[in-house]
Amino acid sequence: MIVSAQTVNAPLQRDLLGYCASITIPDAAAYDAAAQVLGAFRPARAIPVDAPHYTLTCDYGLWTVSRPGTRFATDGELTNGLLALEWQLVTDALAARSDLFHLHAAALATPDNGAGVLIVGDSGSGKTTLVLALMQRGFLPYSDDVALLNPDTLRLRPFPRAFHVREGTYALLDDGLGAPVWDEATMPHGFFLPPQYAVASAPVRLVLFPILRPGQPPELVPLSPGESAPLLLTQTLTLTESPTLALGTAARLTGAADCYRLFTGDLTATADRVATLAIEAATRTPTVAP
Amino acid sequence: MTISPSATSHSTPAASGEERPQKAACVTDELLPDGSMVLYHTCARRLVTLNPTAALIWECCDGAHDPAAIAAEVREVFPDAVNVEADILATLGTLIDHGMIADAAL
Repeated sequence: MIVSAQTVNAPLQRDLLGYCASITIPDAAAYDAAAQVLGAFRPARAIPVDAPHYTLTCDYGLWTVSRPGTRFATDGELTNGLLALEWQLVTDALAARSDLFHLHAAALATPDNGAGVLIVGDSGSGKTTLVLALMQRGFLPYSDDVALLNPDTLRLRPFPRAFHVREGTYALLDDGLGAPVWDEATMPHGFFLPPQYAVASAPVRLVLFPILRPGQPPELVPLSPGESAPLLLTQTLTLTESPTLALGTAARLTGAADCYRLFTGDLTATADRVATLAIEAATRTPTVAP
Repeated sequence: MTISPSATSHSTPAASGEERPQKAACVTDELLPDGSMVLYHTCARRLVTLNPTAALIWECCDGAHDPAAIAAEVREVFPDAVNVEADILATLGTLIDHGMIADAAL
């Protein structure tokens, strides 16, 4: 006799830079939400039998992200559980790609894909907001939070993933950015999938280190390699994992790209200034070849 | 000459002028395009930036140069430099404070 029946969704299978993982989420609503949040990652077609297996479960109102033997996060809000799941997947995928230079940075390609722009800074420094404003000017995003570079070529490597959006940034999304994909009925609050990502690699020509200065005119202060390299190196996990690779990449990047401290003020003026600067940088030959 | 993050002068006894300083084993360095240099202490996870003059002093920390020999190197590359001996001792003191120079050399 069947006393209860439950439809169990097949595990989500995703391929992050070659790191293939399966994710089991018994709760139907959470499964649908996770499918949206992880929607920018490639589906894994043939997943190895020993691939890492993650779960997002809800017990007594608490959402838990785990792998067998390891509990990563527990929270009462599904949104935070989804954030933790996505973050853990990305963290583990990056750990498996020590051949790449990782930066805590937003990254975009200029409209002609001639140059890459890095916006390097801590959480809350305005990276996502500036990315969205530049997208309105035709730039294509690689990421709003993690940028990956080929250390040999200094070219950005595409790694599409959902943006994490704060409350104050939502107004930008309603301003002509992403109507075709912006659907709060299906996309969990706090996440945003851009309508289009940068899909080709581009050489980094401009590196910005933003500092918020609300209500004031934007200001760009050129930085020397000696000033910009430590700012880069404090925003990369590659430094602890592979110091020689990190130092060498940072050194060459500061020679190949124009580096500025960006005091972000009025968003429109800031984005216009950065867009002009990036397009100029795209047309210049770097003084130091990668 | 300046060293970041600490740009203060030091008068560490160990940098008094008699020793032949040597780089610590767990320090990785990289010369930057403007002649400055970054040092990373892999054990302490500490990052230090040197200006071009301090970078030259660092390069001389090979266990063979005493401060007088380092001063000769600095004067050869930067003939207009002033207060060379004092600056070298201050720089060595800062490098010692940050653990960039091996204890065995002191």
